[in-house]
Amino acid sequence: MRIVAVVAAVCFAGFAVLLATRKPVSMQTVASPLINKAAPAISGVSLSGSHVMLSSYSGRFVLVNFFASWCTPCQQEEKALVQFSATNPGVSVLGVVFDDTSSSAQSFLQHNGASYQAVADPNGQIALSYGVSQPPQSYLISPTGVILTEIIGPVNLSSLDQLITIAKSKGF
Amino acid sequence: MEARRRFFVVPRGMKLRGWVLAVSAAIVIGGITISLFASGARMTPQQRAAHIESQVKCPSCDGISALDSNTAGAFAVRSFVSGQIKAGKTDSQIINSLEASYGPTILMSPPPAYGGVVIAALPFVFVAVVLGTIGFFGYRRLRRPILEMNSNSERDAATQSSGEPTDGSDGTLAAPLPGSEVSSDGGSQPDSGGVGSRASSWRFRRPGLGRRAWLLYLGIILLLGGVGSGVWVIRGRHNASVQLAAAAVQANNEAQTILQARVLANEGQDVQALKLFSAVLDLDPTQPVALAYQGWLLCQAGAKDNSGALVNQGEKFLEQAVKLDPGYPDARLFLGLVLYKDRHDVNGAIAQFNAFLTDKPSSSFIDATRSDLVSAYKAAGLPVPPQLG
Repeated sequence: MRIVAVVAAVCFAGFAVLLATRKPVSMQTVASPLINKAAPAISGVSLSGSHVMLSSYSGRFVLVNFFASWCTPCQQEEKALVQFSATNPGVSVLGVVFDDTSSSAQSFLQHNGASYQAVADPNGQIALSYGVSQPPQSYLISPTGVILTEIIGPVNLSSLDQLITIAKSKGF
Repeated sequence: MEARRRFFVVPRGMKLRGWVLAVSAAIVIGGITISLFASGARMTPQQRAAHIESQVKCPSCDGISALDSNTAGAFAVRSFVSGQIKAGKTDSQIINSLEASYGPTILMSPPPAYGGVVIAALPFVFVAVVLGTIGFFGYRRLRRPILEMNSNSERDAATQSSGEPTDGSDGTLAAPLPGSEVSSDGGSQPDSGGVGSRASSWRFRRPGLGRRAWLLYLGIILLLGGVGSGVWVIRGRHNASVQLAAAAVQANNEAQTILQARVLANEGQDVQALKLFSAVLDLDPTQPVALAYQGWLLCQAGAKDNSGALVNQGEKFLEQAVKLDPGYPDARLFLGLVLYKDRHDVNGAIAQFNAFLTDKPSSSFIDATRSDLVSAYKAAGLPVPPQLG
C-alpha cells in the first residue's frame, strides 16, 4: 500500500505542477495557418471601379490590409500605411474593405490621402479566405505569392520597414 | 471416470464463456455499426448548412456560433457554407476550408491540444494506476492459496506414482469427491498431505476460479454498458444536432416569413399578410408576433366589415399573444386599440397602453398611434403620459 500512496502523491504533484505552469487559455495565441502558404486569390472591383487581382502584383511584395472606415485602429494606422506606400515603391499596398460600404471606405481613403488601390468585399469572402476576424489585419505577401506574416492590429512604419528588410535579407 | 468429469465440467464452462464473449463481440460491432450509420443520416441542404454553421464560430465574435450570430462575419460564413454546399462539397471539406484559414480556433469544439489531452487523461491514469495496484495486490493474495494447493497436488501426484489409487485430484475437477469437505467461504488453510490435503485442494481451487469468472462477467457487463452508453450518446448528439438544425431552419424561415408578412401588412396587402401569418402559426401556434399581427389584421378587417365574429376572433389572438409574451409592446398596443375603439372599454385599453409605453416601444409606433392613445387617456380622465407629449 505504500507504493500506492507514493504513486498517488507523484501523480497529484505532477498534475498540480502541470496546471500551475500552463498559460491561461485567454493568453494563448495561435499563428495563422496561412503563413508560408500561397496567398488566397483576391479578385474584385476596386473602389475606383476597375478590376483588381492579387495575381497582377506578382513579382512584388504586397501588403494586403483589411480595413473599415468605422474602425478606430484603422484610422490610427492609415497615415503609416500611406507613408509606407509612398516611400516603398517596390511594395504595393492593397486595401480590402471589411464590413463597410464602398462609399464610406472611399471617402476614408481619400480623406487620408491614400493613393493605393482598395477592393470591395461585399460578402466578406476575401476576409474569410484570409481568416480575418476584425480590422485592421494585414498580410505581407512575398513576390512569389506566399504569405510571409500576419499583422493583427494597427501597423506602424518602422515595423513595416523592418519586415520588408528581413524578408529581402532572407531571399524573398 | 476422469474423462467423464472433464466432459461435464471443464468444456461446459469454457463453452459458456465462449458464447458470452461471442455475443458481447457481436453487440460491440453492432453498436459501432449503428453509430456509424446514425452519423451518416441524410439532411436537407438547409439543415446541413445550419448544422455546419452551428459547428463553426462567428469569426468576429467570442464563443458564438455562426448560426447564432448576426454579425457581418457570421453572414460571410453562412454565405460561404451555402456556396460550398451548392458546389457539392462535403461537410468535412467545408469545415476544413474554414479551418485552413482560421485554424482550429474557428471550431466551436476545437480538437484538444496535446497538453490538454495529457491533463485530461491524468485523473484517469491516476485512477487506473491505483485500481491496477490494488488489483495486483488483490490478485496476489488470491493466488497464494492456489499455489499452496498446487504444491499439495504435486505431492499427491508423487503419492499416486508410488502406488496409491488415483482419484483424479489434478485440480481440474469441480465436483467434490466423496468424503471431501467443500466450504462455502472459500476454504481455510490446507491440510498437510493425505486425503485431507486432497480435500483442501478442492476448497481452494473452486473459489479462485469462481472469482475470476465473476471478474470476467463483470468486465463483459462493464464493456457492454460502456458501448451501450457510447452508442446512446452518439445517437443522442446526432439527433440533437439534427433537431437543432431543423429548429434553426424553421426559426430562420419563420423570421423571414413574419418579416415579409409585416411588410405586406404595412403596404395594405392584408390578405397576403394574413396568409403568411397563418402559415407561421400552422408551424408554431405560440408565435407571439404572428398571433399579434394576425389578431390585429382580423380585428381591422372585422371593424371594416362590421363583423363582430372577426373582431372576436382577432381579439382572442391578441389576448393569446399578450399572455404568451407580456413584454411584447405591439400586442399590448393592438389589444388596447381594439378595447378602446371596438369594445369601448377605456379602462381595459388604458391598462394595455400603460404596458405598451412601459415596454419602450419605437417612436414610429408611438407617432402612428399618438392621437388614439391621447384620446384614450383624455377619455379616462388621466394625464397624458410624457412619451405622448
